[in-house]
Amino acid sequence: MASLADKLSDILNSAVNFGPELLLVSGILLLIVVDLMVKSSRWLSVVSILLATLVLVTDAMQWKLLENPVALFSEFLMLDSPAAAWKVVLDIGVLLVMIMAGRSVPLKSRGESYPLIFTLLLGGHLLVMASNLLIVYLSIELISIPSYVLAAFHFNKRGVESAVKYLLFGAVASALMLYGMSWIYTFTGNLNFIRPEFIDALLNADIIPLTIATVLMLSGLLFKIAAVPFHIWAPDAYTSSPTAVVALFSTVPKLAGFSILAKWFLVINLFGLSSIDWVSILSVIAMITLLIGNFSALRQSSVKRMLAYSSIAHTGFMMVAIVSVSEQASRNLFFYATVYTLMNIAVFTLVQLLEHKENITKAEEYKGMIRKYPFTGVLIVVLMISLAGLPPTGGFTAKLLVFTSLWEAYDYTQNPVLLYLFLFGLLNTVISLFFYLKVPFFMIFRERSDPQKDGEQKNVVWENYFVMILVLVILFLFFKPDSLMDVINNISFAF
Amino acid sequence: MLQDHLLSYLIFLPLFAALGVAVLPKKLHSYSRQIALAVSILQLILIAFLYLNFDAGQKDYLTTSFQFTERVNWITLDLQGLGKLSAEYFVGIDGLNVTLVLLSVLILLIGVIASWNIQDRVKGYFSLYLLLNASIIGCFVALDFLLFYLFFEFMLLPMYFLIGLWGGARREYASIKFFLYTLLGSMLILVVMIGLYLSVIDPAATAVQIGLSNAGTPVSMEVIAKVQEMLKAGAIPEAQLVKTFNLIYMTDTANLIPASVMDTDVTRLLMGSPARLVAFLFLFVGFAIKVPVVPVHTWLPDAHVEAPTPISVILAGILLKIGAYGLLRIAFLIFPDGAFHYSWWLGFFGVLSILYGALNALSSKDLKRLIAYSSISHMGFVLLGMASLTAEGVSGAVYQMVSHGVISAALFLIVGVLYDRTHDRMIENHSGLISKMPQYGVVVVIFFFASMGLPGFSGFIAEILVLLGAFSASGYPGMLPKWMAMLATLGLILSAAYYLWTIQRMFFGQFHIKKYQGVLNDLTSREILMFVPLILLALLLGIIPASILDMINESVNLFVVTILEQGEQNLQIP
Repeated sequence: MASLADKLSDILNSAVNFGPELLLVSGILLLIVVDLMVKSSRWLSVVSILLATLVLVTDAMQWKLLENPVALFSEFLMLDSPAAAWKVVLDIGVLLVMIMAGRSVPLKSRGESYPLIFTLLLGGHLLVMASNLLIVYLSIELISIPSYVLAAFHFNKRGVESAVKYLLFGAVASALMLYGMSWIYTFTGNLNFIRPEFIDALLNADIIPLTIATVLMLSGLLFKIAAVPFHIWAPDAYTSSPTAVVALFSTVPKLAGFSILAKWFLVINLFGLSSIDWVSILSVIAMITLLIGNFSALRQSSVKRMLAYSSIAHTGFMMVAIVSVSEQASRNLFFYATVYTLMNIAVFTLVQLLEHKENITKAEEYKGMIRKYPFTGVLIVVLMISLAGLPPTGGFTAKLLVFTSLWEAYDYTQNPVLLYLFLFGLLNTVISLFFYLKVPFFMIFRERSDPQKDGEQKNVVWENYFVMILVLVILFLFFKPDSLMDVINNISFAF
Repeated sequence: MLQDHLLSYLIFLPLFAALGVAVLPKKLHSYSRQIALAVSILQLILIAFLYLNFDAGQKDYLTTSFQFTERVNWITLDLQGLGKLSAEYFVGIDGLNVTLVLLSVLILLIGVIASWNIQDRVKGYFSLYLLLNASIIGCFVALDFLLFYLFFEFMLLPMYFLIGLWGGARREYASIKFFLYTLLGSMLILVVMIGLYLSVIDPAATAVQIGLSNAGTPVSMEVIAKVQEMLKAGAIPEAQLVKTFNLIYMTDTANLIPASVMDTDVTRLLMGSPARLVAFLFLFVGFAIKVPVVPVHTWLPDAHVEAPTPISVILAGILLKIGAYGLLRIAFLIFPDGAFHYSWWLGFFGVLSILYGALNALSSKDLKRLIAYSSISHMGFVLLGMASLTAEGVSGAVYQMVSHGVISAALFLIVGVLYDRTHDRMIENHSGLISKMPQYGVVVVIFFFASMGLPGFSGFIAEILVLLGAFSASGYPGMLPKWMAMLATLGLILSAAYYLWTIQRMFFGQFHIKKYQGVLNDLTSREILMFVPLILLALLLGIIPASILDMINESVNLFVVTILEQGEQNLQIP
């Protein structure tokens, strides 16, 4: 038993490495105060963007300065290079959402939204650093609770309905996960899952209860990343939440979930020693996720709902990297996640723009919009092509890398399920193109029902420039993927 | 020097012009067609230079006979444990693609002239057209798989919009069908591409990596041989290997990593068959969709019928050749064992396309649909010629690509001329046209005869070579049987039948047009300007076959020798 003095010094030492999170916490408090004192949404949004930038910069510096993994707060948290890198991606996601929220009426009209988003980010930070199941649970809750509130931010009937749905599903998933954790605790007597004795204990555990416990635990994580069969909340929540919130939901919590799943999957798989073939099981889940995501998206008329299913399909693609189980696969997952964040937020920015300016939500209502928003139309085409994963976009490179690691895994293990996943995943690209082209199709191929008046000005909006920068980055990542990959290569994913 | 970057100029000129056109201010929109024309004329000058400087003389190996090459490092991705991934900007031409580049530039120029009357959204049209131009040229000259794939895929996008926005009544259906079909093929190609690049190393870059050679200096042949030896002995750690998309390295089995999926030595199974043969089949299906080969041809009649005339011209004249070229350059050369093993089936699908296309053409009521099906039939000859794996057959296949490029382009222009005047393409609604449009009638007769393979026209030489190849291939056991060549000959007869019948129905007899009431003008000078070079070319290629054969002979001979030697050597069937 360490003395109180030791504990205090541990906490103090940890606090140094906990800088970005402390910054976040004080930022959240500051935002609440600002909201109370200044009744101007402009100020709130400026402060939020500043805060997000500041957190991003501190996280980036922390990543750059980090040499060896550091255990924080008596090994509840582990700050290693993957955690530091994931935090940066989450920060980028939140920063982009904050910029995008500049046009979000529901978020701007109520100042609470900003602290809620940062609370979610705090949960994400803790989740990617978590090395203790308790922290995993707490941080997932810390992500979820603001999410439930944000989902209802339209404050109308549908919004509240979907938020309640989301809450119920979320509560069940959390309960299952907590229950699974308690079972696991009985095997290991320990919640710190990166300790060797934790793995040893699991190796000696009885297989049937262990499997049940693992399935229970997995369901909580699958819920967060919106994988089948725990995806049902996503389309509803996406359709009736404010678009900026959807952009957030589809990226930040999902990526945080993936970072912990990637870590946790190694544990579940007992580093390849498990007698249950978790790789095949997760591969099948990935296949079903791809299938349901893509096929359901085909039939949607609401653009946000379609993109919700598209993000479910992308979950399937990212799970491809998880089942490949290698350090390189984790790097490729990270690459995919980065590209995915950029393109998803970019596309939602444009969706929000048209929703706000033209009051349109359905794909067919986009018809003829190219005449009024020519540049926006071009950007949407590029983004959809990137989401579908065709060259010359970063979406293609990401897919190429993920499937490369899958091929290597197949080559190494000769597990036929991986081969099916490989072929199936690529064929799904063809299906996905069909719905990704829907919006450009209506926008460009169909004429508006109310023909444009001669004097009507083409709209110049700041979103075009914002998204143009993101699109340029996405294109750049196709032509020079090494620029990002060299950075990612410095992350040591082995643990 | 011009010589050093000629191919890059060919690619990037239209690319930058496309971007330029895209940002033209509203007042200058109408100049976009002039810009497109200027680009095409500049390209024509460039290829004239290329034609004059192309060295068709004797070569040692197919893999070292590239000219006008340009090679720049593009992507070097460190995959750590898996080695390095390297993709290059690598372009060059040899006898297999030189004629196709020449053809493309020419057809693209004619396409611009044919597009001159486009009034709707001129800026968008020509900027997409120029993008298409760049990706077509890029596709033909790329010698790096990733680069090839980039252009191959990217081409779909402008094509999709060009058909979908400027096409006929069912354009939306046709364009998405075209896109999805071709994308399905691309995915099969992508599967093989991933498998291949993980199996093939760049021996020169690997030599640098393991310190056998210095960066920046050319790597000698001895060092390359040493690296390949070390590779086979497993003496290079995987993290040091430089895995490459280079199509030339992929053809050399010495660069295959031992026990990798595409390795020839192990009988690796993929879904129950040897992996290399499966890979060949994937590539075959992927490219066959583009050719198209029956039974994966169904997108073509729709796309052709709905596409605007200039785009049909490009589609038939050039895009179909990309499929066939992909088969030659990628499927055959990288997997000669597959080409050797499946030659019977390739020949079979070739003959099937010839006959099925011809029979469908015979029953078509729409002139454009008839020509679309005749395209399928004539592309069947290309496949049959390749499948024969003889020098005659492969020369014939390459010849047929050029010849069909010229003739089918003209045939679609012919349909366009009629449609511009009567807004109708139904054969039964027209008769006796020759009395009102004598010049048009002459052009039609010339090209119909050229397409049915009348001696004196390019089609004759091409098809005769293919048939010769197919007949002589029947001398080898396990290759094409005689009946295939005989059935293919039947395709010639059928094509004579549908063309003659069409001439009889539409051009002879009493003048009558069902729908149109106005004056029927004969060819305008712009239209004559499009047809004259095509007529001259069809005649020139028909009378002086050496004009093409001299350029391609050396490469074709090396191609056939390589395929046969390596095909037999690499083939392993458990």
